[in-house]
Amino acid sequence: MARFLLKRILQSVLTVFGVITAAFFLVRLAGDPAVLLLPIEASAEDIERIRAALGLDQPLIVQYIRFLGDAVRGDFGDSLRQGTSAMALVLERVPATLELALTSFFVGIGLAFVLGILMRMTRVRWLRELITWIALGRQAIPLFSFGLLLILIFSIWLKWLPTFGRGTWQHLVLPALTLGTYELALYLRLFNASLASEQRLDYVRTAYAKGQGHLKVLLRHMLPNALLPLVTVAGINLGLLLGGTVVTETVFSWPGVGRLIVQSVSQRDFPVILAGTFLISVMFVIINLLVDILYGFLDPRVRMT
Amino acid sequence: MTLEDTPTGQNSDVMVLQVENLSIDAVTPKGVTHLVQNISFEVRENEVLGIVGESGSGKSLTMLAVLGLLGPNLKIVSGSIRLRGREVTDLSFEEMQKLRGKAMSIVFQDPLTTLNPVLRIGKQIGEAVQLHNPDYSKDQVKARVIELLTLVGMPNPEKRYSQFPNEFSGGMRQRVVIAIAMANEPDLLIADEPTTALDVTIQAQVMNVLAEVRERTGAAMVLITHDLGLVAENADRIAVMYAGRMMEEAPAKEIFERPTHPYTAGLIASLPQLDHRVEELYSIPGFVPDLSNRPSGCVFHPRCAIGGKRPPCLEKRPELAPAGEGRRVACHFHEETAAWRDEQMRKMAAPENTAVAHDGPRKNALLIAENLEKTFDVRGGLWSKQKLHALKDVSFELQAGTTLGVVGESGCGKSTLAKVMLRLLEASGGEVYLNGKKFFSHRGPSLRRARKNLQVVFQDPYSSLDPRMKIHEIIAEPLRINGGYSADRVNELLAHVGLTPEAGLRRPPEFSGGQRQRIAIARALALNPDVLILDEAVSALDVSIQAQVINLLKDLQAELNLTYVFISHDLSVVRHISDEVAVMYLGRVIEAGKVDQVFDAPAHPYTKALLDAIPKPDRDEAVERFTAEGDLPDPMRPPTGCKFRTRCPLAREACKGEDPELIARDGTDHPSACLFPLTRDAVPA
Repeated sequence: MARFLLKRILQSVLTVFGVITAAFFLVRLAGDPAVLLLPIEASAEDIERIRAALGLDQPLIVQYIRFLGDAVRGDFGDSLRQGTSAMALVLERVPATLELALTSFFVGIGLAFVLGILMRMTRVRWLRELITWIALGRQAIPLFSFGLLLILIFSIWLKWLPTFGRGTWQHLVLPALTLGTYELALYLRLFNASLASEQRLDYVRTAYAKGQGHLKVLLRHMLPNALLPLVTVAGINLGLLLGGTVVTETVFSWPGVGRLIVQSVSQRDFPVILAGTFLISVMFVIINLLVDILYGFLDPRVRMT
Repeated sequence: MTLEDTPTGQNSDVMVLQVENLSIDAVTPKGVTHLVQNISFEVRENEVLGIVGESGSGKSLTMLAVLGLLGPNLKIVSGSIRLRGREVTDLSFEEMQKLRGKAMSIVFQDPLTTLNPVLRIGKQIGEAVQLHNPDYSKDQVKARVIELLTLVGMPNPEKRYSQFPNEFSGGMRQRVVIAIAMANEPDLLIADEPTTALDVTIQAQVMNVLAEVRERTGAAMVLITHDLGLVAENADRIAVMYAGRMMEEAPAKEIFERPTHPYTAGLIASLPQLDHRVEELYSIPGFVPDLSNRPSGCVFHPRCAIGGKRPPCLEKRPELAPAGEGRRVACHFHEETAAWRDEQMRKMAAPENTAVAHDGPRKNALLIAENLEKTFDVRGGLWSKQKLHALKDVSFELQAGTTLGVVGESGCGKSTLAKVMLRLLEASGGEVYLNGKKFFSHRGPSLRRARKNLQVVFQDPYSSLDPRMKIHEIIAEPLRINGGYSADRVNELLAHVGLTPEAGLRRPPEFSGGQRQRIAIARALALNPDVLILDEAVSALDVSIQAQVINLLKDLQAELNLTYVFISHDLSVVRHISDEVAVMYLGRVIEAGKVDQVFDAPAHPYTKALLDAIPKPDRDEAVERFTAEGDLPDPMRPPTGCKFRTRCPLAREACKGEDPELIARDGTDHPSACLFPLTRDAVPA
């Protein structure tokens, strides 16, 4: 186990390193930030001066090594726009992102779990089909249309909830619903398929042959096995949610990390982009590390190897 | 206590299970299919009833109905099932729950899948105890589980209690499954192909465990299997099922000598024999009928050699009727079976000289394997790598037009041998000569050309054919790659394996297993190879279909002068089809020779143990059975000296020190890798 952990942590560090390296060179392709920072009528000398001040006149490889040296110490430089620490800017947005991502995630997977088990236990066939079709229908609606639809119904017509921004729990409801129902549909369909394929396996028959009842067979035998594929997908998906759900954040003007990065890209604010990318990739690998550990805990076959 | 002690004739008269006129239908949107029709049988205390049938015969379905575990679209439409006199067909699922695992229990086929992979086995057995003894404390449950593990012969039960299924070998898992089934000492134990997924030496161990636990509790047992030999050796009575109907019921010991139903007689005639050579196997013509479109009258009549197209067979369904003591049979002309059977026996008895037909002056060998080695690097401890010797010093020579049988249990390296010879895996050492040329030194395009001469047929015809391709295209593919495609050539190949050109227009899912294997053979023959490697090529097929494919292979060999490397775990089939045989154990050949030499006078104790492990109806109970003990050793940590010594009943001190070479110690051409080889007459004490 220790060896496995050590290996995975090492892999994670390499992954983060790879991500920020790729991001570093990619943002350089976006163009020269100096041009954007200065008014349109600025002279070539002005541009040169600001490039020198930002270190952009150095060869790319020198810039890269400098960037790495600073990054190791957690210093991603100051935002070209705001002039304050890029990392601080990003960190400021993290609570908003976490709030939205975790709420939608747990609403989605929790409901999927409960509904999935109810669907297995119910003998009412049309109810099962109905839920499946609703889930499929929800997945077919893009996030932005669904978000706008919710705003239209609950904010404009019914006037129950605010249309945008963050602050009270009322602000959270619509964006969390937009994302959460999407997650719910995804997990429910996956959970169902997974349970259905477990149902056919021999060990389920063995459990019934012992004299076990439906609910216990489902909870004790099928559930731990059916969760395995769910855990993998949930890990990847939570990572994606934390990485910023740009569309939802934009629709609801939610002050999250995703929106910040998108704004920074259009402004060529290199330090903020890189700080944000770094933070997101760190969260992503940590979640996947946790998923691997959880997986080993759930499945003894993985634990052995 | 051994299997031979199974009580015959001491059955009490206490009836445990009575099934009467049971019929089961499948109800699908397409219509109703009768899967089981009017089945009746009884099992008493202490008795073992064997139910034999091919796939689709309805044998497993019948017993699932007894347990009340039929799938949602399967319905019992008529008949009664009584357990100790109590009708169970009208009980609710919840009422059946109290009986399942308590009054009756089941051992399923594949121990790899019947246990829940994420639960500790102690919990899984404990669940069965707890369910029917809700007042037991945790400690009492655990004590009972340990007791059960001990009962099924599990070493280290305390330690095994908290392990997961993946930490057990196949044989050990099946012991766990038996422990679950015996948890509450049921009146009725159903064993559904309990050893089909296991190696033959492990099969013998598991059948022993079953016999022991059954004897302790006096449970009645229903043994469901496709293996006539297994039933004949382990059951008191036998019921033969075909296409959802019962064909005959008879005392198990007599089934081989006196089958009453033409189907049973046909099945027996299509079995390859272990103890003597048979000229040609009888094969029941045709296929198991599609149950949604049953033949009129007797369901077996389209394939029957006796009744055939006689009017009663076409018109009237024969009922199961008494035919002598302890026998019932459903056939209009069963009196004629005995004569037909005698005629088959005469035909099958091969003249002595045909067995050595290939023994002419020794020509140059067509296929030579020389010191083949294959090692895999396996990651061991923290940073180290270990070597796994999958093949060690494997050599043989094979004349054109002959067959080498390669036998051994799973993990012995026989499939690795096939892959190395085909160069699907690169050998770590050694050379294969094909037509006198080095096959291993080919590279790139020359390898592609050389491969034409060495083709393969795999075990599973369901996964070896691309389900989306038409049969014609499947067979044409090698021709298109190598040039020489013509529709006529494909049709000719189809004809070779007994299929019509029309078959080429369809796709694999429309064919049965046996037909698919014919298609795989046609594809392998497309490039006119010299050598066919047949890797368990008939193992997945039903008995009657297996005989058809074996006969086809023998005919093709004679016709096209093909050379076969026939890899199989089934010794009877190997004896039937091979000229030479090599027995493998842990990556080495431990005995080789002419097939009659090896089978009639095995020199290596492992070969002898393999042969003795095969169930035989007419086992001489005075002769003690030679058994391999325990499980295959971990190939990563093979024992010192002789690799078989840990399981060998004759191992001595000297076996620990020296790893014996494969040599003939008596100067014949029958080498074995044993320091103390067995001789024909005497088994050393």
